[in-house]
Amino acid sequence: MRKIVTLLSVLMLFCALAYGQTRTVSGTVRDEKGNPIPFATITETGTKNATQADANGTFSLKIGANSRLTITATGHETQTITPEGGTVTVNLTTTNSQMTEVVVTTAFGIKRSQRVTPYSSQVIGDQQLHIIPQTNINSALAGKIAGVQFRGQSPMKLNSQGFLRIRGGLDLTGDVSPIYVIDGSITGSFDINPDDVEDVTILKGANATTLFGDAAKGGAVVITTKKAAAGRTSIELNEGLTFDKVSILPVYQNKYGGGASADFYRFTWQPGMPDAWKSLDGKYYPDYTDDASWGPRMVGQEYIPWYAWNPNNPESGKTASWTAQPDNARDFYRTGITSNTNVAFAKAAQGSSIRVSYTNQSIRGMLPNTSSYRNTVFATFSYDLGSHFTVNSNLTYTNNIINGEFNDGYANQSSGSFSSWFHRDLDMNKLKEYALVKTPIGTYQSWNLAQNPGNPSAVTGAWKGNYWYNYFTYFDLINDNQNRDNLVGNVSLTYKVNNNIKFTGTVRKNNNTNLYEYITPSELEAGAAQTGVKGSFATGQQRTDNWQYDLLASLNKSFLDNRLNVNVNAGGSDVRNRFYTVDMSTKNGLNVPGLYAISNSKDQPNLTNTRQRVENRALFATADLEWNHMIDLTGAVRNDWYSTLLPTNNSLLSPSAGVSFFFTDFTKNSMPWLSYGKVFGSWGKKPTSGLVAYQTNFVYTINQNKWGNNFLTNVPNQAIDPAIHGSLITSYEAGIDLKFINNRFGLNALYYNETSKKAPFAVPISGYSGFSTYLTNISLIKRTGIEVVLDAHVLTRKDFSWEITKTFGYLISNPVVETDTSGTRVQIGGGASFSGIVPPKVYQIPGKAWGQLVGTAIKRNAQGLAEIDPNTGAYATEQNHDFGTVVPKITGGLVNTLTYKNFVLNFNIDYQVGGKFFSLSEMWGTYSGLLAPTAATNDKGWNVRDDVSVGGGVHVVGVSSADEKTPVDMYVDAQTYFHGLGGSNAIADYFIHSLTYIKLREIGLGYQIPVEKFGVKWMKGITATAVARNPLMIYRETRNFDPSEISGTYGEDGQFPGTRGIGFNLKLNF
Amino acid sequence: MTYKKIIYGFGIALSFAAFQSCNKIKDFKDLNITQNSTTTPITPALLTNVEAGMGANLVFDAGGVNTGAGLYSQYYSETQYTEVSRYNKPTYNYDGYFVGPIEDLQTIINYNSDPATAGAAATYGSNKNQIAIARIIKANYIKLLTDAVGDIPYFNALKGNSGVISAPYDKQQDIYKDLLKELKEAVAQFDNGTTVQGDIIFGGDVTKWKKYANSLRFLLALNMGKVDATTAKSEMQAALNDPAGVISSNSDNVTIHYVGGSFPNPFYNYYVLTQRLDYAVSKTMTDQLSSTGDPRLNVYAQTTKGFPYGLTRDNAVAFANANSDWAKIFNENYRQTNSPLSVITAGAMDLARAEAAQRGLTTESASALYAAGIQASFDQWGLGSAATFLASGAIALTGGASDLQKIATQEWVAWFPNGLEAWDVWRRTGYPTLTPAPGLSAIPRRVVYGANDYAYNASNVSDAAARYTVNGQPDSQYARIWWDQ
Repeated sequence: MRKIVTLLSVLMLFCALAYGQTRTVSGTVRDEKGNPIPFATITETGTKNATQADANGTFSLKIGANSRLTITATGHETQTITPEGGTVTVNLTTTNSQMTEVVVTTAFGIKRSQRVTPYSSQVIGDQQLHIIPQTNINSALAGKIAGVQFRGQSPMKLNSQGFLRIRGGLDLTGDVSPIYVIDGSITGSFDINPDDVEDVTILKGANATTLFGDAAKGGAVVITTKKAAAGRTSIELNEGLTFDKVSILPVYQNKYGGGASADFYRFTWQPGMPDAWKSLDGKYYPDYTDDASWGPRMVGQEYIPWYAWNPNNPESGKTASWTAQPDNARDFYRTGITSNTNVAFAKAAQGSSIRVSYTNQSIRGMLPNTSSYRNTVFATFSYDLGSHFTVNSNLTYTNNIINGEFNDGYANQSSGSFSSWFHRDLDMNKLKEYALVKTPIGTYQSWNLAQNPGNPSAVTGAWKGNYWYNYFTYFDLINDNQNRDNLVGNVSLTYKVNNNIKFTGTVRKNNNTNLYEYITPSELEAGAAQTGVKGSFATGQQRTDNWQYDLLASLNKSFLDNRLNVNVNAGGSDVRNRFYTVDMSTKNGLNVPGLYAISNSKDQPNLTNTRQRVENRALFATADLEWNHMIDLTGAVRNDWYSTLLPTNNSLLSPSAGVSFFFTDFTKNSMPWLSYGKVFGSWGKKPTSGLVAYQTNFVYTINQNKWGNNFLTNVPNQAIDPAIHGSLITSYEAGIDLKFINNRFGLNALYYNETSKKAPFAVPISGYSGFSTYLTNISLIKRTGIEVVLDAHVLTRKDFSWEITKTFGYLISNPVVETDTSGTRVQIGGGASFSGIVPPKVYQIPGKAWGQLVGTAIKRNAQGLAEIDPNTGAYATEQNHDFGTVVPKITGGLVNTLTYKNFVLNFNIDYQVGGKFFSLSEMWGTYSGLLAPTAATNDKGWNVRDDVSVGGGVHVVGVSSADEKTPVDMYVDAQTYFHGLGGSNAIADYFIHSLTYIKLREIGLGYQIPVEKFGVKWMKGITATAVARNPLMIYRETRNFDPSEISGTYGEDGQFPGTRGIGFNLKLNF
Repeated sequence: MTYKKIIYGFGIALSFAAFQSCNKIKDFKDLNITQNSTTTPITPALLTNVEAGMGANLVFDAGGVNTGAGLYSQYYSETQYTEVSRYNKPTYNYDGYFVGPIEDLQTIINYNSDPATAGAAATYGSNKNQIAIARIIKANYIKLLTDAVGDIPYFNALKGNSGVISAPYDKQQDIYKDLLKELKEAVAQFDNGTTVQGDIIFGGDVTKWKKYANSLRFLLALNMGKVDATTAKSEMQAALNDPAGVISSNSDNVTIHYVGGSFPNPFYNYYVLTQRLDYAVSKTMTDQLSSTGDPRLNVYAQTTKGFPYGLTRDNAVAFANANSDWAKIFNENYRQTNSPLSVITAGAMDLARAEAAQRGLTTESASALYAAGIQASFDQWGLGSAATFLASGAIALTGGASDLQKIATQEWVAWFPNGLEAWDVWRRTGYPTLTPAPGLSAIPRRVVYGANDYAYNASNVSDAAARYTVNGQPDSQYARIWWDQ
């Protein structure tokens, strides 16, 4: 606290130093295109009286009555003007496009020149961001920021945004998402409309994010929206259309069809069976009830297809031929169509500017019956109320309606079947054709019959689904929708005392409401055997209501003949968040089938509500002192108070400091090729409250259901350390920033070292304690790494240019030094367990890198040879084998921009090296005989499914598990072998793969139609662009998945396939 | 200059505000107190919660430890994934019982014992009676777990909220000793104070609780019969001599009368609500019942076609395909949403007493108790007189060596569907004669420690696991627990 008061005093002292002049000139510095030039220096010619323009290029300076002004800016010609009147606009000529000021936006909208930031602060501009029109800000950033891994998800999942992992892991509980800050207001990545984004600054370490406080624990993605350019009225229309198709599916086998064994069953008609089945007497059918593909070989033989058993079906009682369907999984998915229309109006005049934009995005999903409609209205304005006050506002309102089910977990009713439990003989067109043909008992038929038609009592079982529905039936009927409203924005009033001092008060609001309705139709219940599905209706609302109040005082002043530039900001902030939920759902079915209302619940419906209040107060100050354009010192301090921590210990102080040294002045003679050089270093801490609302409360929840007249409650399952407290993350960073040969080449390289210590964590404990977790302060996690950004203007000719930006992040180490005093490993994620079969899980293990994938492995002897039971050929297993970290060692990308006359070609390659993932669907797909290895040809030239006695079987080589040395070399029956891998043993060796890949993620070819040549005056420009998303996977180590789209920390357990998109974009400027 | 004054003024005001708020800024008043839950435990609501879960926790919970015991004792067969019935090591995390019901019971005990809170708790019934009831149910839970596993943390368990997060595994004989003491004290503790609220099993009837306690005491002692006959005899006698005695009438059964809806019968929940079909009545059981003409066949099983025990997956799938009318557990009429489910019944207790008498541990009449037990079991299901059944050759006692087998087999039938008690009967007497799953040589005699034991209590569990070493393999399911020698 005392520190803050001291800083405020310093602020006041600076205020007192200001002195008067006789005339005030204010204005804006712009380039020839009218874009503002930030941080230009404006000097009263011939004197040392000077000032610096702000990030928007505006300045004001008191000068003598007849004085002139000299304006200098990096990368631009110096100009001297005679100001006429009190307001001027200065247009500077660009001398060197490779050397312009980059503006870094930090907390509370404070803008800094990247030149002086002593920490990583990569900025992605409009052009790089919008290589192809993106519906999602996270994927737009993929590969473009050093040290940031984009963990995507198939665009099939319309309500998924993917995830940015910044610099590996630092939290014991798992990955922590960065915050998204739009014009100073925190919101979710979901509600950012990429069309309105001007640039994005990524802030990573504590030294960079100190002023954000706890929210930026995982880093910050700071977004500046587009603003009107001065003196112009513009109308921009942008229309994009993208088509997506499935591109990457697992490699399936296409030799054997469905069933549990290689033989068909012979059907015998018996009295009591439908007459329509008589024609099938003596014909053959596979085991429909088993959902694996260990069935008969597909050689076109006659068999009874699943749809032949439904007497209401036109092909009832008819046989078909048993043939391979190599594209059946692919045929299920539709072509996704995304249409994006954005229209924007902007106008700026003296003292005011406004930009309003409207975006309509509609997506037809690749899964049947899925869609998304999003409307965004964005408005920003700034208005000067006289010479001292400016009112400013940014508002984004989004409505998003998402329809459809997007479950991509284990046993979901699309990808969860195709790659895990499926029949390779199924013709998707037949499934589609007969999806809505009812059986005589009113159900919809499934390919996976609940009972084989072996006896009269099984007739109705043949008309129900065992584990799976017909996928088209399921998606046609399931009716889930969400209606999200989001308002994020702020209103601020700035009192500008003079050009050096200003005060800004801001009110920020982020309000999100999601009204959902989920309908599971009664028809699915009627056709269910073991699916556990009941007709149901669920509805409810989640509402997040956040208010934030900021007060910011700023001083920007040059002293000592303009050699000392001082920039001080201080203020306070109060964040008040409320969260409400109201959820209700029917229970155990519906009284009246097909009536979807809570009152129609068969049993007492589920009704719950919650409400939470959280408040975070903070005081902060930051100061920046730049001496003679040679050395810059930065310091910041923030103190937080959190309502979620214990009242006795709820304060956290987080300081940071940094220094930048520009040495080019000393080297310009000896090393003329070095056009710019800077070394920098910084240190900082950032707070982690680590607790959510009421987590320190030991409370008893009342069960919503009553037993007769008795109500129920239970003891909470989490014990709480009475000394629980918040913690700090410490970051160190050091680096260099160099530019060569007239700034044609640039290199920014830095080293970071970050530590998280004693973070609050709910440690899983032995249940014998009476509790399943203990909330306490444990853990010590570190990460160190290197981040490099290289940019090069490879070619700069009159008509042709080629620019490259290369990013590279190398994670040197990311150890979990300790978890708790007993050295317990902590589980942070894992695939779905099923029937006692436990797939690998991700643990934090003391002494090992963050995020270890641990599971059952083949036991190996000292020489690394597999240990095999010589009698059965089964592998001996080793429990709890450590397969390594899930975090890639290297991430990076390469962004290319080639310009030839009016053509622009952009393409973006990204890659990562290292890191592991586990595929549960591959494990089941192997167990079920779906994937290619289960029907491969062995080294004797026989199919592995052929009998071992004739030459088939899987070749198994190793040593005997009995003595660990006698060689074993044998062939094992394929089904036995693959069941042995995927069954109760869950041997993970075969299903863990590297995340390494190189991918051409996006490419766009644009043509700027020279409208002026055609004499069109009313139009400023037309740009037509053809784009492709995921056009080429250049390299990947896994055969079956797109490693850049693995959504779980541990891997995947049934996720949607990779996709490829092509699209067109048309931009009209008026 | 005017702006200077403004700045000074503003600066001073800001500093003043900052100083003023220094104390206030950290004070959020009651903002962080939840509005969704209560900070006071309501003891009758805890008791109802525990009793509502007793059927699933102590008798039948798909995938749970009691179902495993039901598979080992061949009450049930697995129909699809035959892992447990083929003796693959199961992975149960039964330490969850301590997190759930047992901690709830401990809270009832603590809240009624602590002088600071006992007064408030007494609103819901006499402190002593609340404590006694909680101790009895807790003893039942501990009995189930130690009978399944052997040594478990006990004396240092349930102390998580005072920071004791790992506990050593106590010896079963010490746990048994303490349970016997707990039950004895609980019976003695009941007073004539106000009726305990929230008791959905006995409505606070003190005598019935005493019978429940005495029955548990008797069963614990019976388990000890081989390893400590002296204690076993004296404890059994004490239980029988208590004025309340043990459960001997069906009206005293420890029965959960489900209300349906959100609290359905566990078998209804399993077959009808979750719609799974993994468990059937085993052929072992249906063969026993049909070969003796036992009318309980039509109660215990949906059809007379029991599912062969312990088939491989392929054979199980093939059997299910060929026999779609295999027997689900219980006839539909006995597993409606509000069908009752018993933990301990008069029939099972009578037969346990018959076994004790037959083994010379008590001086009661084995044959009288045998007849009474079978009749009580018939009565439980409304099956009328058992006289004819009792007279049949396979059932009637002869006074010969086969009597113990007959008694134990009937005890096994009567305990249905309480698999853990059935497994205890088999481990105590070797009856009924059970054949291991096809191709396998031995039936497990204990359940191995759970994954949570190894993950969160690693150093303690390795000591305990070493005590159950068979053929060099620690924590073997073929090792015998203390009383099973």
